Amino acid sequence: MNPTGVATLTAERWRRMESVFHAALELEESARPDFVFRSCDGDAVLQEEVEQLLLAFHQARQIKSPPAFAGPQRGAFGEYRIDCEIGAGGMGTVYLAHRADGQFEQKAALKVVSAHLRSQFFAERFRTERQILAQLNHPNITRLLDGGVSADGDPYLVMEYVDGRPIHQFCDTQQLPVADRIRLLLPVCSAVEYAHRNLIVHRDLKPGNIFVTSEGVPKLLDFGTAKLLLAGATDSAATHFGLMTPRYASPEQLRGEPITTATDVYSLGVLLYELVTGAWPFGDPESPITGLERAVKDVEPARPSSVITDEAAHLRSESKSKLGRLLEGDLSSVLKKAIDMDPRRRYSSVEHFSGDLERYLRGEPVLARRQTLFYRSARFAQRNRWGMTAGVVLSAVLAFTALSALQQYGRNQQRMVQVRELSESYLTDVLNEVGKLPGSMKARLLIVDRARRNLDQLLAEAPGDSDLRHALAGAYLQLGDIQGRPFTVSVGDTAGALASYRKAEALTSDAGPRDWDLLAILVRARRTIAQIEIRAGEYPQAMTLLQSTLEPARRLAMEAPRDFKVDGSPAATAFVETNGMLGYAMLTSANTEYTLTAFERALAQFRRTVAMAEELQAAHPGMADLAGKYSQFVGFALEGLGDLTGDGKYFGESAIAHRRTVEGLCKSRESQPGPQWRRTCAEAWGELSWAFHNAGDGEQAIPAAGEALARMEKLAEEEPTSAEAQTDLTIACMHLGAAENSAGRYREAIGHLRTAESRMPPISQIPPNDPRGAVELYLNIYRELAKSLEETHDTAGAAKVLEKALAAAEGRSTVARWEIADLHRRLGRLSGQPTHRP
Amino acid sequence: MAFQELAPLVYPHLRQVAAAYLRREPSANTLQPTALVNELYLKLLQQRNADWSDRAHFFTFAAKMMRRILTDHARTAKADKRGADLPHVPLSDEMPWLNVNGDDVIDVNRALDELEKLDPRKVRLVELRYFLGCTVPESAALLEISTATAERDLTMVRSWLYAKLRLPGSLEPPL
Repeated sequence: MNPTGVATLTAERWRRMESVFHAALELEESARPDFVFRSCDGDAVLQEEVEQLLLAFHQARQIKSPPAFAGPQRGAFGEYRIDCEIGAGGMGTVYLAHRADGQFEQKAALKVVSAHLRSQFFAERFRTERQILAQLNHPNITRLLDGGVSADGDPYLVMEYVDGRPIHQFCDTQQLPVADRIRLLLPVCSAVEYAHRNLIVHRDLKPGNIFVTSEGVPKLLDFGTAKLLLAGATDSAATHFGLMTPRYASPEQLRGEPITTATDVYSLGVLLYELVTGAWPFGDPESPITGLERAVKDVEPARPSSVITDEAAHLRSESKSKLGRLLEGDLSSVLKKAIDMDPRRRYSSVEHFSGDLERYLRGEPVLARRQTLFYRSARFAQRNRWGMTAGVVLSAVLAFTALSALQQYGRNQQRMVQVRELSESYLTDVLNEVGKLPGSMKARLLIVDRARRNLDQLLAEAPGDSDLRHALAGAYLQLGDIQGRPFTVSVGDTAGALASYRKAEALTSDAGPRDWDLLAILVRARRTIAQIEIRAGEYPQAMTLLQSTLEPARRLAMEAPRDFKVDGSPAATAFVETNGMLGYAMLTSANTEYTLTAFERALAQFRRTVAMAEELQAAHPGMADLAGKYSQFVGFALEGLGDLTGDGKYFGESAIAHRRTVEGLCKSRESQPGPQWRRTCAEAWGELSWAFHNAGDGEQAIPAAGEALARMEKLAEEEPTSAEAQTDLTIACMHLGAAENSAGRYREAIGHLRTAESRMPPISQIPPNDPRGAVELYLNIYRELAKSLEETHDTAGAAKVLEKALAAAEGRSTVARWEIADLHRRLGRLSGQPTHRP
Repeated sequence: MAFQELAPLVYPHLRQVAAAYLRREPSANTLQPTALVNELYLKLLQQRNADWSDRAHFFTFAAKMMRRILTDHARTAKADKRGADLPHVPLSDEMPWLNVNGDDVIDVNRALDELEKLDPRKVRLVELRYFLGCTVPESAALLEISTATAERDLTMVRSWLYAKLRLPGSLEPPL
């Protein structure tokens, strides 16, 4: 009813309506009609509109929110009858139920699957998966009792009913202190770990899924239901999204990326963060803003000590300041590592996470803090470049190699045609693209894409043809190399590369015992897959894969024709390298696990590798000195044991191992052209001196460090512009100074250490992430320098150096807290002494 | 994934939408949170080329998306005649009369389209506050207005929407 028939609202009238409406609301209700009448000044339309608005304002205020809506009534579920609803959510509705057949008086939680998931079910798959889950038997996981499809056609699951309360509520009611909260999470970790071993990722860990019984036993609800519910579902991102809780979801989950066990590590990390601080690491969990931001960009967690409140402290039976201190130290590092945005930097398994928590509870240093390990890992990574050709992979060359392999085996007429077409399209495309472009990246991408499509098609058409399989396996290998072989220049598509290598592996995994060509591809494929896994921190997988590669590699080395090559190297070399790579996986893993067993396992593997290499080198004159190469790794494993146990004997043994490298490998290789080998040898001398230094044998450390320095000086002269060469030179100076300290030649040490210091870039220029480990180098220099000064009775000078070290270290996230504490301790010790100059 | 497939996922959560679905106190056994929010994530992630460096832009876009999702959902429900036996679930506690499980959302959407031409800022505000579930201060900050202004604007729009949807024929233009 619009009396004047004026059509649509105009901006002008809208503004007037608004101002009269607000002005009227300011007045007593009785005064409003008169005010509106006067304000509208004869504009009947406006007047009616404002009156309507005021009426609406009043009426709307009378309406109250309706009561909560109760779930729909459901039919019978096998032997179970529903008592009442106890929860609802993305996957369905949960009811309290009991057995209706009177056999047991058992309460159960019955979950009815949401309709949207139901439509995607495959009954068969559902049943199989359910059987697997029913076998999950862990004291902290609720059992899956039953499941099926109801009379109404709803799929349902019956779980053990837990009479308890969510873990965060339990902790707060009991006012559990931080340590007890961590202890309560340990069985939860063990349950998740158990499930991971059964290849089940929970994906939805959160307080609401972890109940604590009145006896204080935590129980994981819903384990595996996510996986079960997805059994038949299409693998779309939306389906995954429906089965997670953004508050505890990992960034990869929020982005719909592949989910691994690291996802559960993340959720456990957020959960622990909340248990110990009482706050969510990313701000207000209920604000849609924080939730959405986390989905689209990286958000750093807040420092645990910065988010606590008086109330949170009270609930943890602590004062706020005490709780703050508790959360400052190692615990904060553990949390940071568990909820790292990048799954590769997170704890690689729940076991490692809970291991660190146990170490924390025992008051031992946690792995998350052990920065020296990163330093050592970086050194391993450098050493591992040995023997890998770092040359640029030329796309065209590789593509044509793949083609010739295809043509060689393309015997049948039709396939021949196809192969020829393929080669012609390559020719045209490659020449066009490569000719046009300064870089060859785009050309490579083009080739990769085409090759993959064509090869997949060929494979589909001739699944049983063994020659073709061989050709295709070889081609997949090359394809993988272009996509992303580790340590080479490639397109950088690691996931694509992995898929290609896996195809190559699958095509050759049933190779006969003497089918040398296939075995060679198999060995090469598995080794490269393992390399990628090691890089991704998936050590157990890599170790398993490499173990399975040893036998085919051994057969190739021992039984294949003498000149048979694997990946361009003699088969004997490939066998030793496979053993070495297994050792490398063990050692990298040991670095993370940081246990005696892990280091000893790696040590044994490298010793085996060296022995094997010695034997093969004796039988194959002219073979590369792999015994020398892996001897250095024996040294690294020993140094790991030395660091771990604090026992100096390991460093002594390590020096012997490093000497083998210097004397064997370097002597045979140093004369090779190019700086790379000479640099490697200079580094090996440096490692030798460092081992002697750690063993306290200064007299032997000095000549080794001198050798390293002389070589590095020469290299730096040849490459005056190379920043790497300059850094190497600085490190060599530091090694020499440290060696002189060990020998008690403090004055000479001061000279070399001062030189090293003067060669360092200014601290202010070192970027926060410190990619070259410059701060660590600074600290090494200063620690040694403080020692030499103190020994020469220059206490004031030593204190000054330690202060400089502190200034360099403080505020650096790459420096471990214990290192700073150690510097403070040294400084404190110095200031307790009388200062007297010589 | 088509919205039609997602709609059933949305249904069980309408109660949660009610109490500003993102702010709801999570009860112990509730499987949190809403598929609606997840759908929103998905829609946002699909904006591959978008630049989210501007925070306000991002959230106003998200709010607009949420409005679209709820409107589409209501349209689907209407077309499937599934809305009939569903309970009344309010969009927000501030507008208990506005039922998400019916045609209201479609009507509100239309009204907001109309308002867009006259006063787009108020439309953004409604989207942020009622569709995305931001608080008044959050919404005000994103739009760079004072909280008091936001409160005033919301009172006005709420009354206007109620008049448009519930008072007989009042503010409708003649057909």
